[in-house]
Amino acid sequence: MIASRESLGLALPTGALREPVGSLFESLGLALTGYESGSRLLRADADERGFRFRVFRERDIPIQVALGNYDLGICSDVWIAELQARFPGQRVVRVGALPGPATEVWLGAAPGAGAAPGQVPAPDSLDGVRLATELPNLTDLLAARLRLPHYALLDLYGSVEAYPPEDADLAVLAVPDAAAVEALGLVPLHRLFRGGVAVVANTASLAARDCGAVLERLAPAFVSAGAEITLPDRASAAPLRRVARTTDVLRLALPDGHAQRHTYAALADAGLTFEGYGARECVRRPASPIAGVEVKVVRPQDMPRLVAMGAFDIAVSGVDRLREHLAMFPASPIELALDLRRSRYRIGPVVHNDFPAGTTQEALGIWSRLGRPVRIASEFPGLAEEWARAHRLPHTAIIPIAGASEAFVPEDADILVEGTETGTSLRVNNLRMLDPFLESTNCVIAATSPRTSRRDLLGELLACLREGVRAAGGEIAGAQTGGESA
Amino acid sequence: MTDATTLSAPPVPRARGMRDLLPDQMRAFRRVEDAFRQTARHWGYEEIRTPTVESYSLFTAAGALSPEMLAGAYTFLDWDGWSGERVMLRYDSTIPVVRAAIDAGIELPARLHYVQSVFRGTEGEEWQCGLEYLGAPAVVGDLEVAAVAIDTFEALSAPVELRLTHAGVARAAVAAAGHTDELARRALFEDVAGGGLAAVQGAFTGQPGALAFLAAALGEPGELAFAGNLIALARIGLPAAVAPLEELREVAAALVEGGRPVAIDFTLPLDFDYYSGVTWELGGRGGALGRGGRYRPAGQGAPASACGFAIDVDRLSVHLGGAPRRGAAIAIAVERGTGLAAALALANSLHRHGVSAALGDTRDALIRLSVGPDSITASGPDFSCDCATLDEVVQLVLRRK
Repeated sequence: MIASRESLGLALPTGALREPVGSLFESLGLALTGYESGSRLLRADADERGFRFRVFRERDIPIQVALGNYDLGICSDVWIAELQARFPGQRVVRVGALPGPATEVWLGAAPGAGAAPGQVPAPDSLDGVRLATELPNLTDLLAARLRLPHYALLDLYGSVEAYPPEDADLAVLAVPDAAAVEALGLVPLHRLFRGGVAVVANTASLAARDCGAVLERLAPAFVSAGAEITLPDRASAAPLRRVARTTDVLRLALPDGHAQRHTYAALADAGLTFEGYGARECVRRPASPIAGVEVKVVRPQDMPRLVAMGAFDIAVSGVDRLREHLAMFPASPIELALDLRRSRYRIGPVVHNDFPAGTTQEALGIWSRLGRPVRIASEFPGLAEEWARAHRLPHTAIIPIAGASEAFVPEDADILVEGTETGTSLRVNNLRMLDPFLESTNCVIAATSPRTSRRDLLGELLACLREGVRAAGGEIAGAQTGGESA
Repeated sequence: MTDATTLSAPPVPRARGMRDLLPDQMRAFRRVEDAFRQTARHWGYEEIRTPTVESYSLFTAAGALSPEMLAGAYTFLDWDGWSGERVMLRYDSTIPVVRAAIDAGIELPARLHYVQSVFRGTEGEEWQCGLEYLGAPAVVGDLEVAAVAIDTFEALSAPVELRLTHAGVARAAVAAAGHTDELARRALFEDVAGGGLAAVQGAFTGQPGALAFLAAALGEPGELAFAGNLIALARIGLPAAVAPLEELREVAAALVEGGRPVAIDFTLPLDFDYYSGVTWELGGRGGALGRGGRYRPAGQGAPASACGFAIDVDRLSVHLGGAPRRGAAIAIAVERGTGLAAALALANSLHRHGVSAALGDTRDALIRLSVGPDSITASGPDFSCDCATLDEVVQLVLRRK
């Protein structure tokens, strides 16, 4: 695949690293037009030097390089370690380290768990432990080293620090250093990994392609920082104290991130104000004005699973996240309790503007004659697979991605199953949506059999929110659940 | 749309690491399997089969798989895996067989054998013939299980070398290394399990007695006298290894006396952490062909001790080769519209007499029968004749075959 490409492919990071990497490239005489900070451009074709680049979420970069879609990539070491912890045979090599922020991965516990800083709790007190993390592969490695007989791994999108002690016993989180773990309110127990920013290369590219034009520019900037996994070889005798959720409260999850302002508005329409949860700012545990309601702020992507598991009785998330969860786990015991009718956007198959089809039906004819798997990239792999099944695509490869999805089409994926509110980002990246198959809004999801004994509160809360929707002029949709009959 | 899709559908490759067992390979596979099953039956082992998919926790709770092994397991979320409950393709058969025996309340001692595959990341699917003697008494059980393995190879007329070690020696060395921390001790044992006793040498600097024992143990594999020499050295350098070595010598002596030569070899890796007693490898011209030994089963209600082994069927069958190809011996030619029922009756009649026969053409046919409206024509390389009745045909085939 690589040999057939003439231009040299670079996978570059979005997010916090975009600005420093962009500046570094400029200072090294490698400036890439469109990669400047603030640009929404995620992809650029080969320039006069023969360099083309795509911008990805960092965690996707080692995967893209390993797949051979790009020759070189730049990302934090932690994502290389996360890939190699599970797939050591992947064709990716760390070429060198660039100046940049250090990332450490720490095992942490809540202060009340009785664990001392720098000490792993006694392994025999960890049977059945709940581990919250964004780094499931490194966490599995740790669990294997500790020989944990049974453990539950909460593979999260983020906000890991919010989980201990009620919703997880331990957290494995990426932070700058131990002080950052403490700043997040946790006790740092063991540093599992330390690394910085690295240049990664596809091993086949290094062996057979001329990457010299980029490498010789980058090499003077290399620093001697290493990347190291440190598995614990000592444990303390002190057991870990654990906290189980109580059922005499109603547990409500509210979203952070993009969904926060919409949720805040919906709550305000319902006359509900939670101290510490504003349109932009939030604390992890806002104070509830309703006695018996316990609130926590987590990522909306994680909510369906948390409600299904019984950690929360009710959550404000999105129809997209609910449908994605149910596509993955059709028998999951959760349901739409109320559509809040805000944050409306459409999800559908997205293709490059040059793709010669105007509708999904026309496109299906082309895709089914490709003679190879149809590659579908999506942040909603469950919905993408469901859509492909519904359209009887005979041979597909679903590529789960972390974000910056517009960069994938057409080179690295044939289709993007993606959401768009205004279409701006799609247009900037020369993409268009065919026929959307889902309209998503924010919504309340609830457990079909909530664990709380306060069903009365569940009913009250839903009634308030329902009134809020009416007051805002929306139609009411959703299951008449949540303890109204209780 | 449907037609276009079907016509242009790309060939879907096999999943990575998975193999087809084609007729040639299946004949070789069955040869090994039949020899194993017959031997196991002679020794009183009953067959068991466990699910392909097990709970991930079954393997982590057993504490038998090293972190590297777990990293190479096929794991994924269960069908209703919103709780994060993971499942795993069977990595090893011993752990599931023990689980099944506990679940079903099978009384001890239990002798169980299996023919099933395991799934390991780098190797993919591998087929094994194996057995577990749950609640096996010390030495007697070791002897029996090793004898079943050797007898299987004898039934196949395949030369085999049994190389013996003892996990107790490795455990004694790890314990004597002086680690007080549980994690550090486990890490060292994992190194020993993966690389043999050599991994522990560095821990005995300044202890000449222990180093002398290890130097001798890590030399060339030896015969019975080797065990005696090691016992002498262990009395000074590693006293906790004396009892395991004596047990090893007892098992080895009985096997040798019974005409089954063995080699004592402490460079062998233990492979799985669950081994606790005499452990061995079956070596042949194809390299390592199987492993077995005494282990401590995990789980509530598990027997205190057990012995077992597994033979690598894929490797052994490739090495041995299979029986000659055996397609249908008789081809029954018949035209559509006439004689179909008669052809079917003819095939059934031949089958009842133990003769393989198929409708239409077959590549291996010794005799071809052509079913006509009034008679059946039989022909071979050097004959041709008409038969009036089914019975006549059957008698002719039986004479000619």
